[in-house]
Amino acid sequence: MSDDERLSYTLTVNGTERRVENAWYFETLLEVLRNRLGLTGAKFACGTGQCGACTVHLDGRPVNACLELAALDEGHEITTIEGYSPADGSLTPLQEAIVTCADLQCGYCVPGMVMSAAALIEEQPGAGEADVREGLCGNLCRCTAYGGYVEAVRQAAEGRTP
Amino acid sequence: MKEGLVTDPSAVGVGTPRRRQDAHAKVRGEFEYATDLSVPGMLWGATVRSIHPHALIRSVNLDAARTMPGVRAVLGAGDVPKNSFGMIRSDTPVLAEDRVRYVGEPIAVVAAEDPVQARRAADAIDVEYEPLPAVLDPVAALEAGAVYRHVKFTHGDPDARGEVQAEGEYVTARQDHAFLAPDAGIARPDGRGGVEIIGAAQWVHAERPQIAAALGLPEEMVLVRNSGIGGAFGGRVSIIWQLHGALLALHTGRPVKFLYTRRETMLARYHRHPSRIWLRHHATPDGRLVKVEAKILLEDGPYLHAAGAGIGNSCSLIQGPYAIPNAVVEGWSVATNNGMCGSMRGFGVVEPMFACESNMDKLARVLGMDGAELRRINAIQRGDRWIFNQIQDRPTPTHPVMTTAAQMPLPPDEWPRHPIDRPGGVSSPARREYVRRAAGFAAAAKNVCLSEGAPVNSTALVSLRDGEAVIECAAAEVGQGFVGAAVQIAQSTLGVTKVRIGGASTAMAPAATTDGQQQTMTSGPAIDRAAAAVKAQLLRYYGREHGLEPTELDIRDDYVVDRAGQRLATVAEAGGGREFRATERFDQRRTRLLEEFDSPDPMHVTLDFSANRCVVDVDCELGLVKVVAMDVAQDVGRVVNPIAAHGQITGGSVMGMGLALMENLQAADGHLLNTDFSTYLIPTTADVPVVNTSFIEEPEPGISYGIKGMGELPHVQSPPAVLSALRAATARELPAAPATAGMLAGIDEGTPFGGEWFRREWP
Repeated sequence: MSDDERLSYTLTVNGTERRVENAWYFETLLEVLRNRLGLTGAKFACGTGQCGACTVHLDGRPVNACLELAALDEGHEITTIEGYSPADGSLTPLQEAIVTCADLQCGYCVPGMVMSAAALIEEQPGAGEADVREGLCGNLCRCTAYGGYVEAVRQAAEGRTP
Repeated sequence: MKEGLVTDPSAVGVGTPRRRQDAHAKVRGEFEYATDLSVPGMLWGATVRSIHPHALIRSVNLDAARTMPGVRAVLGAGDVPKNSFGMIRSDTPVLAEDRVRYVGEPIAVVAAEDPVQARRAADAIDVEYEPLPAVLDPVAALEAGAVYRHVKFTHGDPDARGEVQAEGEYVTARQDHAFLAPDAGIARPDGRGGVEIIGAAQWVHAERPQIAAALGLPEEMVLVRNSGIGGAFGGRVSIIWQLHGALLALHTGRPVKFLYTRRETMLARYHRHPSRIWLRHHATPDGRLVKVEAKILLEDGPYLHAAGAGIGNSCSLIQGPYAIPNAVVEGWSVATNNGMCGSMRGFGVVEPMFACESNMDKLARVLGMDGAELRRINAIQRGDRWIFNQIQDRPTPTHPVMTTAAQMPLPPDEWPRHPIDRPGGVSSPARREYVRRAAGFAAAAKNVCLSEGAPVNSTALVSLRDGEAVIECAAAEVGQGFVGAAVQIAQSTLGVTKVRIGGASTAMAPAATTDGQQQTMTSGPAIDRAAAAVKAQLLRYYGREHGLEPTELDIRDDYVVDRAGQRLATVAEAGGGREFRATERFDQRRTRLLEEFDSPDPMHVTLDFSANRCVVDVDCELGLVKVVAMDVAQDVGRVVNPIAAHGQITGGSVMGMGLALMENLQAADGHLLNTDFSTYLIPTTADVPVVNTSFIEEPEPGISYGIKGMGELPHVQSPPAVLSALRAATARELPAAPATAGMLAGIDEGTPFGGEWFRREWP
């Protein structure tokens, strides 16, 4: 093991300090979340920031976790779908709208879609249908025609909290 | 979104808009997919892949990798007990030995403690190649006789002629499934000398015998089971990493996880075959089709995979959804070194339907007829004979689908306020004065279920205890909604609301493959029959206990009821704590090879039909497009869940729009060029139109609840509909899918393939 390639650091994930020991210095936030911290809600799909399936919030802003160097995220607030989802197992109004309106199929894109949409609603309360489509165009879904997602997010944005 | 179509968490039974049972877990990020799997002590696998499309392997030096940090096993071809696999023919090496035949072909595999160590060890393996000339051109492959299957047949009078003729030559590009979850899974030793494979397979029962044979193990020592599957679309029917994982697990005695990168997922796996189709329609002056002539060339990869089935589908369905009395058809599936090709949604039918419908547009122009009307007067009807000598003996709502799609309300024709809705999207230079609105039309037919003698059957077990039913069925849920449909069928048949279904594994009796839009209409009847048997058992038991005639009893809304509907007991009480179980098998009717014209069996189990009227805005100067709307009417037998049906039709239509406008996995010198999502583009929220759906319900006879497969047809119908609209807007021929901006603007006469093999003479 070449120790000069390893780093230990602490990440603040979903409000909790999580120690990361001997990670490769080049590990992405997505790899650390999934492989070291057991948080698999953010999905690995493209690894190059082109599909949005790994979207998490960094200090409240949506980022592709596959493009973030984890070691540089020390001191920042990281929120994943696990932290966003209510601890009692229920759904937020946005999540509820998605399971109601969206013709959810394989669902692999959904956690990223939720995280992007939550940030979008935060930034643009009352976003209209076209705004939602513009805001979510970085989140690929291969199963659906997006129509249900867009409608769900629009409804959630309509004066409701994400 | 279809007006008022939302899920209902309390919905029960066939026909209701039921919420997916996995929706809650999926939206909270808790649903476990194959990529998410993790078990204590697991190693990580990595693969060494060919960098040449065709080469001899002079040597593979595994030694350097063996001593690297964290490495626990390094295996090459010599470590595979029987080095081949394949679903139809065992012609594919598990690890290439003396020769590689495509870029990305696996040569060696590594297992290490950590994914980085595994990757580094794989990169340290030195492969010495001697490059050979590669076959990169399907026409050259045909000339060289590298043909998997040659189909040639005539129907009716091959010399018949129509007074009016239209001919054209059409091509479609290599398309990737682009499911979002990359290939992944875990193989682990079972502690008794065997191995367990947990992954994402469309057909676990097809994987097991191939894996067992290559490992030199009896089948019962191999267990294949599914984790959550993140999309499939035909892309998960072949073994990819599973055998490598099993070999490494058996060598190390530890679980081994594979997780492919996106590029690896594209290199290692097969794609929709590029196609070139020449077609001539003959018609009477009033538009009656007289004859179809066609030559069909499908590019397949260096190993068979499912090549024969693809060209069989193509040659039969070049006919389109029309009655045509005479035909002369020839087709070839050929081998090249441009990577693997194989099944993808609408397997072998997307290509001929694109050619057929494109040429029908041309014929309509020659005749001076409306395209929708030309299609309507030629639509195949029940009782007609297909060119592959099969009587169309099942429901055939060709007229309803065509009429409905053509009559759905048109979207308002106004310049969009939001730039995302203009051709080219948010930063588009499209100018209103150059934008033309146009509508196109296409109809389609697709075989439902695997054809030409492939086995299509499912076995399901249903058990009922304490008022709750459990379904065991090895059918793969890839996202299409089978698990929901299965539950709804059992609810309707049994009369109970609490129904669960587990995941698929080879520990269960075999089910059909999730392919060819056959799963729900094949496993569904098995579940229905098993549920009916369980219900009869419970009513017999309750009747005996209470001195009642079982035939006087029924189950409704979780209660045993009498003839008058009077509730006698809850199902839980009536069962007295006992478990009732039944296993039933359902077989679709037997089919024959295309060429077996004299057989009494059909070639296809059944066919379904749809039509799509597509509306586009095109900046004809710049070639920029906005697909505004698609109005799709589809023959669906009977809808089990309208939400899921709407999702299949709209999602499939958008995937087809991807092929029509942007999806083209390009090969140059045998190398796939665009293996990521910034260069291989799929539709986003910025690209999608409004997709309106209309279900035409004519129950399929002999199938429980009249269910008919429906998942592939949307992808078949959509590319020609989009191109039809683009032709109407631009007045250009547009013989290729995808139609690029250059082609639409008339500055590029090329094809998705750079024009070379498309232009060469047919041999």
